[in-house]
Formats: sequence, structure tokens, C-alpha cells
Amino acid sequence: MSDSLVSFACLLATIASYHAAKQIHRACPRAWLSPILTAPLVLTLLALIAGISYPTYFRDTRWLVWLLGPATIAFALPIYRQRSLIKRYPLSLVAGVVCGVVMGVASSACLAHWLSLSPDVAHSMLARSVSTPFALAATVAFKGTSDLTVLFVMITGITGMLVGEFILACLGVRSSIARGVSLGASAHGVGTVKARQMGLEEGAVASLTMVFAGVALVLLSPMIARLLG
Amino acid sequence: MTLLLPYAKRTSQALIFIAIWLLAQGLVSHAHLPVPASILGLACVLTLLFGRVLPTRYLEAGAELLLGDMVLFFIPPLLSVISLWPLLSSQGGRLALALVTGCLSVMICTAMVVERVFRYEQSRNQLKGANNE
Repeated sequence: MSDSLVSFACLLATIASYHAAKQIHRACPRAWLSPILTAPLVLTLLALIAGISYPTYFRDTRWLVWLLGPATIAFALPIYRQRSLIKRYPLSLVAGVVCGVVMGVASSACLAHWLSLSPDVAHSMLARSVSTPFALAATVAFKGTSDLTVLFVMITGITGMLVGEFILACLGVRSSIARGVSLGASAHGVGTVKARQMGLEEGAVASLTMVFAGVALVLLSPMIARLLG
Repeated sequence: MTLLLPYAKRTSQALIFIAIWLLAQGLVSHAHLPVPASILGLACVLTLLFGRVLPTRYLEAGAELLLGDMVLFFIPPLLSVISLWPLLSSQGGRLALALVTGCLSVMICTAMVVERVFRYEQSRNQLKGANNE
């Protein structure tokens, strides 16, 4: 089979396994059965067994990643719909975004230093706490690698989704605003999915926080890079 | 045909977002703007929505399609682990520790801060409501 055919098969396999994973998760809604965990796991195993290299896999599937651009623009709709929430709790949202961005970058920088991670890994980690499309834009300023950044962003999001509810319950955080902001700031898009399961207001607040934190990080990234550089 | 109609609507509305994305990309690269195309596009659509130039019903179904299945767009980069493994395996444990601790510190810190700011803001809102009455 020629390489281009393999690439196209990879694209089809990715879409198919995502949809299958979604159906399974719908039938059996457990956190560890989330499509974001199961689909990549199955695909990675398939690629390893078939001996498909990442460049071959990515040649056609990059169009899926490309769609993150339009998807980011589509966040305009949830923001517009929740405009009354922005009007009622501007301070809480601003505090959450500032805290999330500062802690996200600072914790990455400190942990990478203390654990002496290699420089390319450390640079790619700085943008890890915001949603992928924003992280990809910000990581350019941080001199990170896009592959590593996306991987770290996803691991961060999955962590937040898996432990979020438990941690927030332990902290005794009861307001839906604080719960949503916390999930959106720490686990971006994946956390937003979790927040939406916890409640409508949580979900809306999480998506707002995620977008604002993403925009803030992208706009501030040249400055942060100079500060850390 | 009526069965296909919702799909046609969602897809065509998603194409609106794709068109805006392409326009924004063209604009950013031609005018050498310092903002990413996605944020420029987001700002444009928000302006159109708040200015009531563009009614939400033209975009709702498309946004639902793009946002509802966003997880699918995240999957391909995750497979980069195949080629990145040699680089990551030597520091895998430390890396996992850094990512998990980082995520938790952001989560705990924002939750504590926002819970307090929210209580203050809520009492202020109630005060304002009481004054207005």
C-alpha cells in the first residue's frame, strides 16, 4: 500500500475510532472511558502494530487539527450567550483568569526547573494550561515544540478532568462560579466538558475562563518569554 | 432529505467559521499582524454578535458541530508520542509529576481565590440590588 493511502486510512481510522469511543462512553459514562483517553490509546496501539510512523499518520490527520482554528472562533457563541454572567461576575472571572495564567506559567517554569527537565520540554510546558489552539499560538513565543506542547496540554486537561470533582469537593468549593473557573483555568477544554457535566453554569463559566485565559496568555506570551528568557 | 437537513445546516454553518478563519489567516499574514488568526476571528465574530449585525441563529448549529466534537481535533497530536517517546521516556516520571502537580496547583489556587472573590462580588451585587429597589 502506498504511503498516501496509509495516511488516508489513518484519517478514516481516527474519525471512526473517535465515534466508536463516543458511543461507548455514552453507553457507559465512566471518566476512564472518555473518548480523549480511549481513542488515542487504541490508535497508538494500531499504529505501533502496523508500524506506521508519526509523519505518515499526521499527513492527512493534520486537517483535523487544522479545524481547531475555526473551532476557536466558534467559542464566540457560548461567550455571547453567557454575556449576562460576565456582567454579573466580572471580578470573579478576571481574578480566575489572572490567577490561572500566572499559576499556569509559574508552576510550569518552577517545576521544570526543580525537576531539571530538558530545555525543549521545559519551554513546551509553559503554555500547557490553556486550550490547544491558544497554546499552539503561545508556544511559538516560548520557543516550544508544537507536538510536545499539544501532548502536555492534553495530559494536563485529562488530569484535571479525572481529579477535578474530587479536589473541588475536598476544598469545599461550593459556588458554581469558582468550580467552573477552576476547571476552565486548570484543564481548559477537557475540564470544560467535566464542568458541563457538573452543571450548566459551571460549564459556561469554564468555557469563558478557558477562552479568556487562552487569549490572555497568547497576548502576554512575548512579554512572559522576555521575562523568563 | 428532511433527515439530512440538520446535517446540511450544521455543515454549511461550520463552513462560515472556516471561511472567517481563512480570511483572518490571510489578513494576519498579509498585514503582518501580531495576533493569531484564531483570536482575530473570534474578536470579529464577537463584534458582529454584540453589534447585532449577525443573528446567532446563523452560527449556532455550526458552533455546536465544531465545539461538540472538538475532542476529535485533539487526537492526532497525541499520537506524536510515537515519535517523541525516545525523548520523553528518559524523563517520563519527572515529566508526569510536573504536569500533574502543575495542573493541581492551578486548580486549587484558582478555586480558592475565585471562591473568595465570588462571595465578595455576590454580597456587593445583593447590596446594589437592594439599593436599586
